[in-house]
Amino acid sequence: MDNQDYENNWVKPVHRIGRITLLGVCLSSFLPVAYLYFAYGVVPPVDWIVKDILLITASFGFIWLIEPITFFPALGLIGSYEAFLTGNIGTSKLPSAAVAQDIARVEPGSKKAEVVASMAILGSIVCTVAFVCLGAVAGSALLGALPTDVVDAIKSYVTPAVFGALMVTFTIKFPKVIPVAIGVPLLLRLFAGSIIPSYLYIVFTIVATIAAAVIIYKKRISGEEAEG
Amino acid sequence: MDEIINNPLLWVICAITVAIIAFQAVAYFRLTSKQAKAVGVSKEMCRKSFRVGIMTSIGPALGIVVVMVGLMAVLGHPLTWMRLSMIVSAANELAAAQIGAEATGTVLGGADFTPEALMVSWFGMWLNGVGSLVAVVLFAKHLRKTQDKITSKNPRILAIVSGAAMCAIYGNLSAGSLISGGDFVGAWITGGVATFVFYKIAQKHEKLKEYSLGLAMVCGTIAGAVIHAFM
Repeated sequence: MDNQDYENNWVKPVHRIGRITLLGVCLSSFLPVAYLYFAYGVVPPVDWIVKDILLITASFGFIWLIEPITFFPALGLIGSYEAFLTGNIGTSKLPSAAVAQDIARVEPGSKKAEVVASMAILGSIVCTVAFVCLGAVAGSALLGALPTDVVDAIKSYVTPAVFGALMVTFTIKFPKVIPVAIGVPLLLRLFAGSIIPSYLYIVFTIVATIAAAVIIYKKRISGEEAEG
Repeated sequence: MDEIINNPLLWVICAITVAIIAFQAVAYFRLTSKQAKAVGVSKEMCRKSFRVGIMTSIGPALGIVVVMVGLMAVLGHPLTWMRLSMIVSAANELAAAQIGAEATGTVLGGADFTPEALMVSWFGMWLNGVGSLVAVVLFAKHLRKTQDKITSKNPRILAIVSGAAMCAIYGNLSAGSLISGGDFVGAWITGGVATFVFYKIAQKHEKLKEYSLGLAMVCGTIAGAVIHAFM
């Protein structure tokens, strides 16, 4: 297969399908918000929306830019379009692609590897979406059968439990920055609550944590120290 | 509220997004099958790779179903179905919804969680998803070049900086839980301790990794409820 064929029969259609579906989902996933307005006339105060945009962008904006870049070499072009539409990249998509490439004994980054990774990620997508559909239906039955006490507990305590679990996950990976990552927002809440608006906490926290990480892991970044 | 978030019309609306995802999977499957022939990957190898993808994802998918139940209680079934079909990081979705509630000064799923607050939460989840989708579309073409440039200079700084950003996000959200009262602190600590215990066990039993978050969540939720009962 020469480069011209590769470009026309593979790269171009991959781009075309990827753009159509990703941008399509950008539009279609907004429909539930529109539904609240059209079906129930829900109109939140403008400053809530503005705050939300600031908070979400401050929290995730950096990740939006970083993730497609950092995952690209591992996923490849088609893998990126597939994986970013369906998510769960670190826990399902990447492991699937890596195991499949290993079994197929193809050189990562080669044209064959791209095909094998794409197939594995598609298998992963089918599996995950099937389970999510099942969960949406069977999960309903489960919730309906549960006593209200249990549902109340799920409503209140799932959130802090998940945050605690993730905090430990990141502590294992980046133990030295955790005091800053959790100390800064905690101190802000305790002592600056009346001075600094709460949606700015994340900005202070992210700046402080990244600065701390760059200083603390200087050696790892410059390559003098192996990754722990 | 339940009538709003579990309306049959909303199921139909959310099905559109799931249909686009299914369309992408079918279109890419056909394209990849064609390309496999052209570059000499056997049909047998394609089937095997597809199967590996399914098998590798069963574990994390089960974990997602457990987390789903919690999200569905607050945000409704159809929206959770749609969100988790497209961005299957339940924790991330929960964080985005939480941030939305925070912007309105309410508690996710609390008594003051009005339809207006719900809309802001949904909007936040939408924005979070769109951010990365648009970034992928915008970057895809130039990513190979960009990646080469950065990694040839320093391959490690990106991992450290994005890791630190994640620490900061969950640190900030955790701080919110930590000042909310003893039952919330108990749920947070138990979720964390359980994760550490599962992490240690998973060193020997790799399979556990996939269920760790789901199980830690169950432990933390039970702890929160028990403490609440004694308060």
